[in-house]
Amino acid sequence: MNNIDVSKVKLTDADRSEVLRYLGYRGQEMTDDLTSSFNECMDLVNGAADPRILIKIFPLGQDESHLNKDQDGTYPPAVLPDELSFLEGSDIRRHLSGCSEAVLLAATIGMKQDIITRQLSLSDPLKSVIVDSAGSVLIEAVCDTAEAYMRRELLSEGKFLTSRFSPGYGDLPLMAQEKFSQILEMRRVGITVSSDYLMSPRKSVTAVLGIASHEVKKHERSCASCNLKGACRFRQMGFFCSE
Amino acid sequence: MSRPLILDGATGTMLQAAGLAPGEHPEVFGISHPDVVRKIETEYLRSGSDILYTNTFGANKRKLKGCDVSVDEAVKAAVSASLDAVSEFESKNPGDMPDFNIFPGLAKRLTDLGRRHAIALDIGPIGELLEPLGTVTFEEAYSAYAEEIDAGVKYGADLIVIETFTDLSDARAAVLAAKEHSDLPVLVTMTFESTGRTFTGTLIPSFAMTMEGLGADAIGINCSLGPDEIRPLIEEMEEWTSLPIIVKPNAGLPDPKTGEYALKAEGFTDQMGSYKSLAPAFLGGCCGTDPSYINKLRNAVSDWDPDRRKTEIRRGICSATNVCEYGGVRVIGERLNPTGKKKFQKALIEHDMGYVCKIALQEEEAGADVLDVNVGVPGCDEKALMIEVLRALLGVVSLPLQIDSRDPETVEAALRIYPGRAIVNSINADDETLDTMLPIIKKYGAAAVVLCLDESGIPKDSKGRVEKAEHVLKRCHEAGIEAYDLLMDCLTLTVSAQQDQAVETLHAMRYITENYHTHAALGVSNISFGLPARKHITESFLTQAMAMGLDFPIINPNQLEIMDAVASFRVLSGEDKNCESYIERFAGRTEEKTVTVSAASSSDKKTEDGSMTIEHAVLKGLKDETRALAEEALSTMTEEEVIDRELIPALDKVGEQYEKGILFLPQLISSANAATAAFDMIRDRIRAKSGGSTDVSKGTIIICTVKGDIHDIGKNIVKVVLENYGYHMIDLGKDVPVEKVVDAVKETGCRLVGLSALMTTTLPAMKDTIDAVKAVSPETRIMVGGAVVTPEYADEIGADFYCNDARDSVRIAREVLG
Repeated sequence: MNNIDVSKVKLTDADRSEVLRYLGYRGQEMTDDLTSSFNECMDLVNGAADPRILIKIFPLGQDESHLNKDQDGTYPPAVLPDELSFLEGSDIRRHLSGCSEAVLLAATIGMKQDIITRQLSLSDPLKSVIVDSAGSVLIEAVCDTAEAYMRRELLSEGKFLTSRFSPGYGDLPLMAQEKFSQILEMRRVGITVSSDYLMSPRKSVTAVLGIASHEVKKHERSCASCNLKGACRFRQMGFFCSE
Repeated sequence: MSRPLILDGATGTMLQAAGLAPGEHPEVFGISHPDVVRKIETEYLRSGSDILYTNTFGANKRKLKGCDVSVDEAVKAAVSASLDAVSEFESKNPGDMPDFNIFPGLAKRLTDLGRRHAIALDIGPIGELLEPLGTVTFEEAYSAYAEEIDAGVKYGADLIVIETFTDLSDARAAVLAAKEHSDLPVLVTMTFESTGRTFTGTLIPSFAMTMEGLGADAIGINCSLGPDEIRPLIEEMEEWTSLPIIVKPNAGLPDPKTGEYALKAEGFTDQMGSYKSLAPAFLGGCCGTDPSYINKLRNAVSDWDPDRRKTEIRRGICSATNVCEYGGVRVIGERLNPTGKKKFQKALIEHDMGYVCKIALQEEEAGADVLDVNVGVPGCDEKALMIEVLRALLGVVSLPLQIDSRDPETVEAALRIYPGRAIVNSINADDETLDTMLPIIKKYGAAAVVLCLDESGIPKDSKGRVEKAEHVLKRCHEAGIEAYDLLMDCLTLTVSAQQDQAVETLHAMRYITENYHTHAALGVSNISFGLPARKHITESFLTQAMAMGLDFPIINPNQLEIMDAVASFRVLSGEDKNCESYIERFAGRTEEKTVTVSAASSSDKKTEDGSMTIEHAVLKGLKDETRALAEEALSTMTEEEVIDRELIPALDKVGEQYEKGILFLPQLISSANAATAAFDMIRDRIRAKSGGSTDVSKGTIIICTVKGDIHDIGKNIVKVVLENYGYHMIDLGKDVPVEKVVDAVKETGCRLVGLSALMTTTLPAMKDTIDAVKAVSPETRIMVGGAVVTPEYADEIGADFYCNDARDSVRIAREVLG
């Protein structure tokens, strides 16, 4: 399960509402002009997209005491092997608690998205905003596709997969991107990391998922530990990113 | 050459098999395990490699950051391991030196050193993207490569191999560092996808032409794909270069299930067999290959003849992502030029790169093939401005560029960072000019526009211009610049003033292009200066000139009739096969008209009683209607009244509805755009009335995304909205250094600055920017915004205002600037 083909993942009509949600849509009336700009932008993003993904599985090598529940019914925080020690903080250890393996994932929809967004920001700011949101939805869709595929494969082996946890979430520092890049050889899918730990292409994602031999509760991302709390556009609009 | 030279196979794959952990630096591992590296190199020698790549792929200061190992140490250890392996192997296994004559001097060097295998210093990319895709500057990349190359030369490498690059700009930095820091031969291979582009969009012809221009000694492809997938790409590359070709593929494609490479040594060698007819000069393997692959390969190619390459080469100029091939009419867009253009001058003086880029995109859209870039504004630093404009343009425009400057320093600085083959505009027959410009043009492999004049002026007749052209041709030939890279400009003079000259220009052009196989460039529109209905003369002259050999007209591509003339000529000359482009061009034009009609009749454009107000048009985001209604309103109101009583209240309504959630973001922007259309019209009228001296502006605001942050969508929205309220926006862009903001504040005396940050990691940069601005201009007020900024944080870092959204910025601007 080292490679998953995501090259065919595109935005579909079903993704429209998600793109609209990113733009703050709450049932406002759409004019024909706006609808046609919207459709054009969805096509632009699909046309520019070159989705690629890299996946590598690392055994965590945890002993029995870490793979069984404590008296209080929870798993103790995971102990990570040396090669994953760059994943700092307690949140990722909690995320991987009770897991026997960790999946490191890097995905992107490619550089062309960045170029059309930049061009549009000069020639048509409206479309640049829609294209940007559509790109965000597409990269999520790419990750979701890969995640669903892995989950199904694992289930056939009687294993379970946690949700994705990315550098920048909770107390896992963005700095982890650099080591992520080396360990996954992210250049192979065209992702580079800047000295400020930003990924290029912009619509790229790195994430860690845990594999466990027991069912894992869907991990709700918590606002309490999130960097964006206080300025979250979802919360401002009255809902949550995990919804 | 008697047979292709054999390179080595993968080093990384071999090191991993020997215990290198994932994510561990191979160079650091090499220092602690010199014996392992030596053993791998020895195995490649035994398998038949003529040239060994050193274990220095990531031995640059950016990749080694935080490793406790210096570049010098890493390179020293790796080169020594290779040298040790060679001397040990050669002492035990006597043999003959392969034919290294492809690189003059290499055989002698090796003989003098008592070796028969060559050591290539392996240079991999620094791993970060260069501007404009990323944030690393060309010179930063250059210095990292130069340091590695200096060490490689010091410790005895025989060649420099630059490999696995995906960004042409990055590869150019490495090649220039190699050429300027050593005399060793330079081999360059980039990594292409099966689409024929790299991840950053670099095209094969762009790579080939650019590297040949820069003086690389051999080029090719490595990594990413297997031999079968790379073969069509190499075939394409050979069409565009006469340089020796390098092929170093992976062991096939990775298996989708296991991630392991598909080809074993036999399969790899079988596939490599298909390259015989392409006559490559260097063969090897990349990821997934090992000495057994190289051994089989070596045995399979002993009767290949690398000298049997086809000779006909396609040529042109290019950017990294766009090729303008010679042959046929190629339009050079002339609009990026401040001469006689007030708006463009102003944009340059105020560093408004957004405006410059917009003009460029319009020219691209209109069908230009090359864009001329001139930034000559009196009193400005031409070199600095040229670099600033180039950086901005490279981020959005893919067309190849023509550097329009007579200043050698400006030209050199521009060519140095330009990722492609540019045209220099211009040189002339003056020997002093040629002495300084020809070496620069040769070094960077550019093409050039040649004005057929010299220090004594423009020759009066065609014969005189031909003589000037001949002089330049001779000088270029001596300097190693080919005639096919010269665009002869026989000079357009105004026909109303010097009527006899038009014919002289045309005759000189025909003579030169027919006899010397150069191209011809010509600034066309000057011909009609001072005459009524200029376009008829211009169009007619252009058509005659194209018939006389003009293939690079320098014109305004946004003038429809002029481009129509070019489209017509392309049909008549046979360039536009089956008239396809012509038909498409004119079919498109009628279609557009129909669309406008149907759009206007669409039902949601009117209020219930059938009439429409400006407010309604703005709220609905209807551009044309808003402008038309504003024009109508001007019959009863002054310009200021239309702005203050109609447009601003309409925008306020938009803001109000946005706050309440009646409108959402795209609608807010549509409305802003609609209002802009009316504002632009009114501004132009005021300017025309006052003879260009007055400008409607409610005040100046500087805006940018702070250093380290490249998110600019939010900042762009704020800019659009504030512009609509009549504020003059100076947009410094994204990832903006503190000093640049300070300089802009000092230059303009601006009283309001808006800063944006979208990441927690860049918040400190926001604070630094505020501190620096306040230090030089305590009265300047600062508003901050962006996803991670909170009112509390804004307060903490000393900002004057927190902006929750674009609407907030309007409230603040009113408070500060009125």
